[in-house]
Amino acid sequence: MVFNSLQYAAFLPVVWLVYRSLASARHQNLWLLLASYVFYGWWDWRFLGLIVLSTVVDYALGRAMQDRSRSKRMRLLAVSIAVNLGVLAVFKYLGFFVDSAVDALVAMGFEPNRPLLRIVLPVGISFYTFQTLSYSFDVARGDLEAEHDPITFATYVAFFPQLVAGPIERASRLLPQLQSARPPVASHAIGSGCRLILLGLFKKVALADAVAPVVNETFAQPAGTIATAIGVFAFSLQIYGDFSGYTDIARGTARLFGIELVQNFRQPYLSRNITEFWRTWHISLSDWLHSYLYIPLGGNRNSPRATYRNLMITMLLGGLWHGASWTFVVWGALHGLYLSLDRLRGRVEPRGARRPVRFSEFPAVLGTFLTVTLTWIFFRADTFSEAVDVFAGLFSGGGGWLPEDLILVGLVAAQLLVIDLLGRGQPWLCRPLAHPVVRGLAYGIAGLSVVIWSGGGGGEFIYFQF
Amino acid sequence: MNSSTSSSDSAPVDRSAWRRGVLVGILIVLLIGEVGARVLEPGFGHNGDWPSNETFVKHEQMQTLGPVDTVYVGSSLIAFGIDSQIASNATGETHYNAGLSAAVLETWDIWLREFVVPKISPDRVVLGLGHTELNGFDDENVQRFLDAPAISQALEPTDLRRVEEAVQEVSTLFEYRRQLRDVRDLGRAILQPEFPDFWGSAGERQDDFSQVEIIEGRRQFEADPSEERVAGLRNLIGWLDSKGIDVVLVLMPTADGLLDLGADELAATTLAAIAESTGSVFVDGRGLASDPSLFFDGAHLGPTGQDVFTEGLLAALVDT
Repeated sequence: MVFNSLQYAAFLPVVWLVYRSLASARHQNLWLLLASYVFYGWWDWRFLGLIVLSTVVDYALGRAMQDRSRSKRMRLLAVSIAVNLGVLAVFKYLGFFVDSAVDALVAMGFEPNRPLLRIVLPVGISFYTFQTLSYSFDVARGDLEAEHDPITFATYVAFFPQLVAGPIERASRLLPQLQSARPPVASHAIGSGCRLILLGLFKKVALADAVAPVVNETFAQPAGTIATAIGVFAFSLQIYGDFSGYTDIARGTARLFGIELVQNFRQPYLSRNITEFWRTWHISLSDWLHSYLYIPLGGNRNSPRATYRNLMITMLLGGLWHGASWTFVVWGALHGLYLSLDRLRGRVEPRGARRPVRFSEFPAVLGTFLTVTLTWIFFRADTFSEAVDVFAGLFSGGGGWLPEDLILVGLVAAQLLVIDLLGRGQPWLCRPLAHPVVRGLAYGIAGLSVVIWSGGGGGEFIYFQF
Repeated sequence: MNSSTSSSDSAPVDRSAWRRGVLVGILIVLLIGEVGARVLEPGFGHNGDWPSNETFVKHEQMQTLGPVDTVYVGSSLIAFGIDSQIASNATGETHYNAGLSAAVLETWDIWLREFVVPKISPDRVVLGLGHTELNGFDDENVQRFLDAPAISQALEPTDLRRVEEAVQEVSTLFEYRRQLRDVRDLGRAILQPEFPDFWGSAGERQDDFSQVEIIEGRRQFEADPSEERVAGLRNLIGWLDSKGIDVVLVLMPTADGLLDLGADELAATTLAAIAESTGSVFVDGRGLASDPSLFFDGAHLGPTGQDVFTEGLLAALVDT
C-alpha cells in the first residue's frame, strides 16, 4: 500500500480510530502490528515471511545476548548479521554478484553460461534489515536492554509509517516509545501530524511526480545540452521531493499515533559543502553508517590515511546499500571522494543546529547543489552506458528543449526552495506565515495541488526499490 | 506549513480566531482556483477524461444525433478525408464522420461496438483503411483508449468514478484538473481563450487543416496485412452484419510519391477478398483522389482533397 493511494486514505483513518479507543500499550502495539502487516502484505503477502523471519531471529538473539559475556554477545551478533545480510544478499544482491562474476570471467576469456535468476526484490528490505540490525548491534554492545515483549519488538520492526522507506529508526529511540501506553494524542499534535502529511503529499504528488515525465524522457533519450540539463536538474528535484515527501508523511502519520520519528532531511540542498549535505540528507542512513560502519572501522581516530580509507569504504557500501548495481557503487565512491576532499580542506564543521543561509553563502550552496545534481546521474541511470549517454547529452551542445519543461521544472524548484527556506527559518518568509490567513492560503494551495495532481501517474516512491 | 515555522502551536493566540483565519485563507484559494478554472474553461476543449478531444466531441455529438444512414469510421485518413456534411447534403440522408485520429483498427472495433452503433444505429458503416492499416497489431493503442477515465467508466462503471463525475458537475476546477497540471494545455488556454472548433455537426473536419502537423511514429510504407488484423476485421464485419448493418470497405488514397510502386496492391487484394467472403462491399478509393496536390502530407487529404474524395466516394457508393 502506498501513501499516495485511495487505499491508504481509507486505511489510515480506520487504523487511527481503532487505535484511539485502545488504552494499554499491549493492545495498541498489537493493533499497530496487525495494521503494519496488512499495510506491507498489500504488495504481496508472501513478503511478510521475511519480516517475520527477521523479527523472530533478532528477537531471539537479543534475548539470548542479555546477561551474556561480551564475547558471547559478539558471536550472537555475528549470527544476526549473517542472517540479516544473508537475506539481503539473496534477495537483493545475488543477481548482481552472479552477473558481475560472469562478466569478469568473460573479460578473462572464459565462456561461462549465464544463469537466469528471477528473484523478486521485496519492498523496503534494505530499510527493515538495517533497522533490526541496529537493534542487535546496540544490544550486543550493551547500549540497550533486550526487548522482552515479542509484540513490542515486532511492532518496532514493522511499524508501518516507516517500514518501507524509513527513516531507519534506532531501537534506542523507537522502542522506548512503544514500551509504554501512548496517551490520547493532543489536538495540536494531530494538527501538526496532518500538516506534515499534507506537506509530504504535496512534495510527492504535486512536485516530484510533476517533473517525473521530464526526467524519464531525458534518461531514456538524452537530447541537447539544455534539454539534458533540464532533465538532470529535474531528477535532483524529483528525488528530493519524493523521498523527503515520503518521510514527511511517515513522520506525520507516526505523530498521529503519538510516536515521534527522526527527522530524515534538513534542507539538504541548502548545504554549503558535501559534508553538510550528508548531515542533512537521509540522516537516519548517515547515522546508521556512521555508528555501525564508520566508527567500528576506526572513524577518524587513527591516521588521516585510515580516515580517508574509512570514509571511502563507508560511502562505497552506502552506495551499494541503495541498489545492486555498479552505478550505485560509483555514486557512493564519488561522494566518498567529495567527503575526503572536504576533510582535506578542513570543511568539517561541528554538528549543530541549522541556521538561515546568508546571501554570501549562496555560491557555496549552488556549487554543492550542482555537484550533488551531476552525481545523481549515476544514481538515476540504469546502466553505465545510460549514465555516459546523459553526460554526453550534457556536453552535446544544442537545445532541443521544450519551454514548457523549463517552466514546469522552474516552478517546482521555486516551490521546493520556498519550503526549504521556511524550514531553515528564513525570517522574511516565516514572518508572513505567522498570519492565519496566509497559513490558510498555504494549506489551500498545497491541498488543491494534491487534488489536481493526484492520478497523474507518478506511481510509487523512488526509495521503495531499495 | 512546516511545523517548525508555526507560531500557532506555541503563541498564546485565540485558537478560534486562528482557525477562522486559516479557513478564510483556504476558502480564498478554492475560490480563486474555481473562478480561474471557469475563466479558462473555454480554452480547455474537453475535460481530459477522454482519449482525445475528437473522441469527446464526437461522443457528445452522437448523444443527440439519433439514427443515421451512413457512418464513416477509421483513423485520421477518414477523419480528414470525408466531409460528411457534403455527403448529407448531396444525398438527403444523414451521414456522420466518426473517424478517430491516431486510432488503429482494434480501437475502432471498440469505438464502433460500444459507442457508435449503440448511439446512432447506422444503416451502413463505411470502414476506411489506408494501405498499411492492416499491418501489425497495436494493443497499446487500444489500452490507451481503454485507460481513459471516461471510456473505462462507460465500459465498466465504478462508484468511485461516479462520485468523481458528480464532483466535476459542481467544480470546474476539479473537472479540468488534468489540463491544469499540463503546462502546455494550461498555457494554450491562457494564450488562446477559445478552443478551436475543429469539427462540424456531422463530425466532419471543418477548419482549414491544410497545414495541420501530423505527429506519427515510424511510418511503414508497404502493405503487409497481419493475420490478427485481418481476422479482427472479419470479426467486426460479422458483428455488424449480425446487427443488420451494411458494410463498405474502402481502401483510402495516398499520394503516389509516398508509395513504392505497387506496394499498396496487396492491401487492395486483401480487402477485396475480405469483402467478397463476408458479403460486404469493397471500394478501391485510390483512383478517387490521385492528384498529389490533394494531400497535405502525402497521406492525409487536404480540404480540397476532402471534397473531391467525398464526392467520388458518394458516386461509387451509389454504384454499389
